[in-house]
Amino acid sequence: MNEPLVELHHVYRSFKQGRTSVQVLQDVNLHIAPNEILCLVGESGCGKTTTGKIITGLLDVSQGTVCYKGRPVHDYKGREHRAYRRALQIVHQDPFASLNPAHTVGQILSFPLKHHGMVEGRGAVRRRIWELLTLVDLTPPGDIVNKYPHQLSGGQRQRVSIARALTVQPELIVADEAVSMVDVSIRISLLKMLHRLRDELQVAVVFITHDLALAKYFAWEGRIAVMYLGRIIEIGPVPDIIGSPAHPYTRALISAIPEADPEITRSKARMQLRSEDIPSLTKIPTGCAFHPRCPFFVPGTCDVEVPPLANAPGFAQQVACVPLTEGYELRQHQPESVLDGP
Amino acid sequence: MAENDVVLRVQDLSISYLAPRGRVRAVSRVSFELHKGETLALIGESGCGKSTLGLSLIRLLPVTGRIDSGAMLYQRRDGKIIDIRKLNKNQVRRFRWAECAMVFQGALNSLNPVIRIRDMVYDTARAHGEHNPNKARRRAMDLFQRVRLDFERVFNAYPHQLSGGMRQRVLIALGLLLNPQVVILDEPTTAVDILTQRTIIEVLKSIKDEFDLSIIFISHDLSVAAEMADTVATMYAGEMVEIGPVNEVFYRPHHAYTLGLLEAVPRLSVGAEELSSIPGSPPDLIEPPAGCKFHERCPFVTESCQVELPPFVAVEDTHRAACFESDRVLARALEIHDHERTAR
Amino acid sequence: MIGFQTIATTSGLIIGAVCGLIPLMVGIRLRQWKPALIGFLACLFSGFACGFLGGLPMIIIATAVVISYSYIAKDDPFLSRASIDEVDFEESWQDSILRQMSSLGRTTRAATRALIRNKAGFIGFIGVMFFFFMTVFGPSLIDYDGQAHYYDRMKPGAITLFQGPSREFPLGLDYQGRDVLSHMVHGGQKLIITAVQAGIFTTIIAVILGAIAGLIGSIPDRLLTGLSNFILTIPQFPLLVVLASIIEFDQRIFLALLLAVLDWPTLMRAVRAQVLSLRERDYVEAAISLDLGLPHIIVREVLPNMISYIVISLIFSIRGAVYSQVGLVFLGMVPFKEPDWGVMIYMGRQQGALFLPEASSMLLSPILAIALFQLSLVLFTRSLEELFNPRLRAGL
Repeated sequence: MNEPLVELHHVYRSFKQGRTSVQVLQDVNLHIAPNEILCLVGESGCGKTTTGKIITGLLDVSQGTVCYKGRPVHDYKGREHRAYRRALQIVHQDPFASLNPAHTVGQILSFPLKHHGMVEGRGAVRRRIWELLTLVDLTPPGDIVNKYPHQLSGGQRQRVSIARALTVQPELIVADEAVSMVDVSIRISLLKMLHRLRDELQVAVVFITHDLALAKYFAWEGRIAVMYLGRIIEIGPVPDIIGSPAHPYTRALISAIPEADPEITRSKARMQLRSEDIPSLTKIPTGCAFHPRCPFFVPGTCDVEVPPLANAPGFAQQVACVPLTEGYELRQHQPESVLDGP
Repeated sequence: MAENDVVLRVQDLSISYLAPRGRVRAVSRVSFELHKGETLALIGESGCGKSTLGLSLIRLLPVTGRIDSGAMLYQRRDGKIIDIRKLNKNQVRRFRWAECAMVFQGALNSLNPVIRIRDMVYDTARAHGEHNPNKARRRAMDLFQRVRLDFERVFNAYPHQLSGGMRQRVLIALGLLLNPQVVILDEPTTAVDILTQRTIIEVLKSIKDEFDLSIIFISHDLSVAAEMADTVATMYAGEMVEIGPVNEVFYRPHHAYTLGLLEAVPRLSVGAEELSSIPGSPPDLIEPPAGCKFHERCPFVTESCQVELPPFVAVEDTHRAACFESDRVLARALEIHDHERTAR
Repeated sequence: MIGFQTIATTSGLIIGAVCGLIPLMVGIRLRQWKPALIGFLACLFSGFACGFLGGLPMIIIATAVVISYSYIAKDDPFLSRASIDEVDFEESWQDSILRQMSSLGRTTRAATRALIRNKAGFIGFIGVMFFFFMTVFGPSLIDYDGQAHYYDRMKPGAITLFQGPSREFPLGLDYQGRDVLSHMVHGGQKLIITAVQAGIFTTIIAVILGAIAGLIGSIPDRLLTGLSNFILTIPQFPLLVVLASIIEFDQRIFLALLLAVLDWPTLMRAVRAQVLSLRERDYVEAAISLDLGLPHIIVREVLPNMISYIVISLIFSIRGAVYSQVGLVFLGMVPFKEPDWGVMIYMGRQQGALFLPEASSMLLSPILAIALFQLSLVLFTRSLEELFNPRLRAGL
């Protein structure tokens, strides 16, 4: 069994907003194996971007431990720490903000190569830039290397971002909504390229997105973790979670997504939630954070204790839902939908 | 106009913008019809001209924009036909919102933070001819209920006190305030989360039925079009390349771009999928290529595609497409469908 | 020989000509006649103006421009479509120098184009150049009319020595009968040089402190912000007056330093705000993730995006320094030595020039000169904005 590349143990993270403290992540446990694909899925405010940044070491935790190759991250000092930093890279969402507008593509790629001495000599640097641009399908490299970011399209900029992440030969790349701001017809080619990179370079990919269909396509051989209000509420192999979702929130997400197929999407059964209000992170509901909206809510069970992530009979994935893990069948208690209440 | 239930007819419309480098041909010779109670989805990616087209319908093009040619005809409820291009300032004011309303792209994030919702309602009503605040308030009450908003809570609130989904629904209600015949929605579900998007879609569907509205729905999202539209039109590089009933366009597309889009969108209900991107990028709209604007990226390209502009002709009953190779496109589409059906 | 002493002397001309031979020869060899000639003239002119200090840098720039006209990236591996094994990525040092010179030349040409493109900016540039030449070259061309009193110039029937503009004295005479024009030409130098020095000091102090406060944050940030707040709450000009009356200025550069010490807080806070905002940009986060180090982040990620702001702030600091100096002189706080524009205003007012129509020239000339100088500076910033915009850089 491979030792995991990155592990998160009981990670909590809060931010100060004026005088109050906002709990963005609570008790997050994750492990990522080398060369694995993991998707972090959830709506805005669920903490997936924060988790991504903690994985790459750009953000510190308020509580809990982050381990890299078995050792806590804080144990790494000096040169080892810098190697740890380089091993985990991030690709941002906004193609317009991810590249420095004052530098050409060639300069952007040469900085890390020269700074870390990845290659020696100017000729070798140029050769490596050529290789990297070809690797991300920006061919011919000559058309791109002397251009400034504002002269490139969104898709091309994202490829340059990925090439930049590859300059330091990382072991894991976090793609934070990396294709959301790119045209629909280009997204697939970017994702295919990421797949190819993962196969050829043995890089693990953590794909953060709110688009479940895209996550399904990209991570079919990997795992998905569904997050809600700072916790992971379901985690498991993609075909299982998409095919037979366990947690009511996951079920609600899957039933809510429209499909590019009129017959299927118009005949799909839609799940009704008890409330459409998303609780604010400063007032997280007691017990299971989803219970005010859950149509299968069991009073006395769901609002008392926070459900742990555990195996549930009949499901391959782990889920944080007490009735499910105890083996009960979910039954709808309040089928009618409710107007947005106070 | 021949048929009685055509609410909006656009003929040969061309719009251009003045940019530092030259004239950008944002919309080229677009023609379509919108019937009473019909929902038309305008699908396309960035730069295809769909937003420009929407803005031109209510005469809201920016100063640098200009309608070069073509006609936009609108039929009022009393049967009178209006030429939208020929309206003067006052007439445009009365036309906007009372006959044709628009919910703009990203508007949910552009609401004035110091104006309460109720003042927005009153201001909008007054600006377009309704000077009785009580009538406006009653109408708002009715509409808010239909878009599933709690009137008491929302009417007196400031925008920042409402969630993104609620703001979008407020804007939809504002659009319906003066009972227009046509509502144009520009990317109404793009900036919101999945569950909020679902609520908005359900709201739009229920309104569509109740009010007998004609809706023009501008988006890049094919899935939402599949859910809501009666007719789907795809636009590329300023041209309308295909238009037809929703089942036709999705299951029997006749243009290579439409097919390319369909192959590029992942679907949840299918298992492991084979998807493909469209290689290349959109053409320069200042000096567009000769022939079909899509030919540089088209897998079905032939020599005639590179020199001649394909005409926008009927391929089936109410289904039109501008493609020389539409037979091959259709064949490929049917092939994919059969393949999927056997795989399931 | 080296610096400004060679202005308008034949030795300056000779130095300029010698320096100019190099771009001329390179241009002739590359068959670029017009650029060769322009390069020669540019060197000639800078040598004439500043001796070797001007001539030597101009050699490099002029040669670079000449090379850029004829340079074709012949064997640039990136432009070929060969496969990676066929391409030779190594570059001889000669090719490397050629490539870099041509890049410098292209940048110079783009800068010149940016300068000319904006009409208002170009006018400002002309104005700044005019004042620069007047203060640098003027004193060599026009003698200083410094004697005590020119009773022999007095017109019959006049009460004072003041005179309005005439054919002999285009700007008239001052209260001692001296030629106003010569005073104008000689009097701008100290004012402008001190103002430029003050601007440079202010900018250096503010940028360094602002970058530290913005990037490091926590305690250094709080200390620096507190200090800048403290200085800002003190009314600057009265403080300046008090300090100027206490401190003895043997050299004007100390005055420049004093002006800088009181002026840096405003710019520092703006720099700090910019740095704080740039720090959150995705590309800075990527640089952190790539472990590129704090010096790299400051110098190569943050600073290039702020350079236009910094240069424009420099211009505005110079503006402020001019006003502060004139104010100080006007109040008699700074021991003044004629010739000086501020002194002219002061003495003119003292000698009753406000009430005599024929004395108007003595008052108006320095006032107009200062106003026009400030206006030129402000208009010039428009060109600078265009110059530093990377979006325009690529339009070569």
